[in-house]
Amino acid sequence: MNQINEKLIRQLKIEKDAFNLYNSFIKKIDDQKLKKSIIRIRDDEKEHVGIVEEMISLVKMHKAGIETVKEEAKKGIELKGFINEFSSLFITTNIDNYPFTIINIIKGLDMNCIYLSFNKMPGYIKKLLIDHRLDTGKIKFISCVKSSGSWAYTNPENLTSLSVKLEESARGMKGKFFVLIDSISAFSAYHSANAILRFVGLVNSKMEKYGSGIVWVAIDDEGEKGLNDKIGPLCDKIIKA
Amino acid sequence: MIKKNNLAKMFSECLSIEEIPMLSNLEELRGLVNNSRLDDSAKAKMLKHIGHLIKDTLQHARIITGLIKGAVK
Repeated sequence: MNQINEKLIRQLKIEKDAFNLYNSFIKKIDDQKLKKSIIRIRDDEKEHVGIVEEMISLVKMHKAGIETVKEEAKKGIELKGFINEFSSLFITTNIDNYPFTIINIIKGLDMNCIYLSFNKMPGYIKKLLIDHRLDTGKIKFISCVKSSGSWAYTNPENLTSLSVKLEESARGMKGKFFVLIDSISAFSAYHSANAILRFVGLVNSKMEKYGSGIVWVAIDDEGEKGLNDKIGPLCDKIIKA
Repeated sequence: MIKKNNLAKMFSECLSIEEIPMLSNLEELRGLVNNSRLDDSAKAKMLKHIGHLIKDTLQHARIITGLIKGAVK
């Protein structure tokens, strides 16, 4: 099947899944203000289903033109020297580029990894990595969101237990590995800037002790600028993806 | 009815779907359409639709991030 058709059909499924997810949550929410926000998003998803169906029809009418010319390979993130020359890396990325930044880091480093998913469910990122033919067998997931899956859970409100969990996981790793924090920006929902900065400094030095590296991913957003400006200097290298 | 401390978990699932499969698929779709041999008007129409979906998805992610912050306070 043509790649555009494939992506459109996948998009239709994602939009329908999102619609059903929001719909099920609406029934569980008491708070009228929250309910209103979720209803608005649910209605957007309903509109999106219609838009994707329209695109599928449009593509059907233009069958001859849907083959794609080969896209020039996108440049990855420059990660040369990681662990050997520098061990802590701070990467900022736009939200729309965020999934590809994660893929590029894991693909580029190609080693065992401890993946800390702070505010999202690891199942989604795992599926994305599998779709991009990445070996998730090399990745040990830790989640700060309770969900079904075979990953370890740690409470996002407790930075001490989080650093203990990272250290425990580091002790169990074989060969060269790195820790990926997705994302440090999400920590601000639970913690003050000072607590986050202390945590970054502490974990950087702990991971150096294990001969591994750590990658802090942050969202490049106006609201996060103050925190990002302070985290950057605590790391050996800063990259804007 | 859902407890307040379960709201964060619920919103995390919403954020996961918006920021991971939704955005990555739309961005890849945009790249494919840009590089397709579709005629100019069809391509423009497709890109306009995709742009609209991406804009809404980013907006949803922002709203949900705010809801998570509110839920954990």
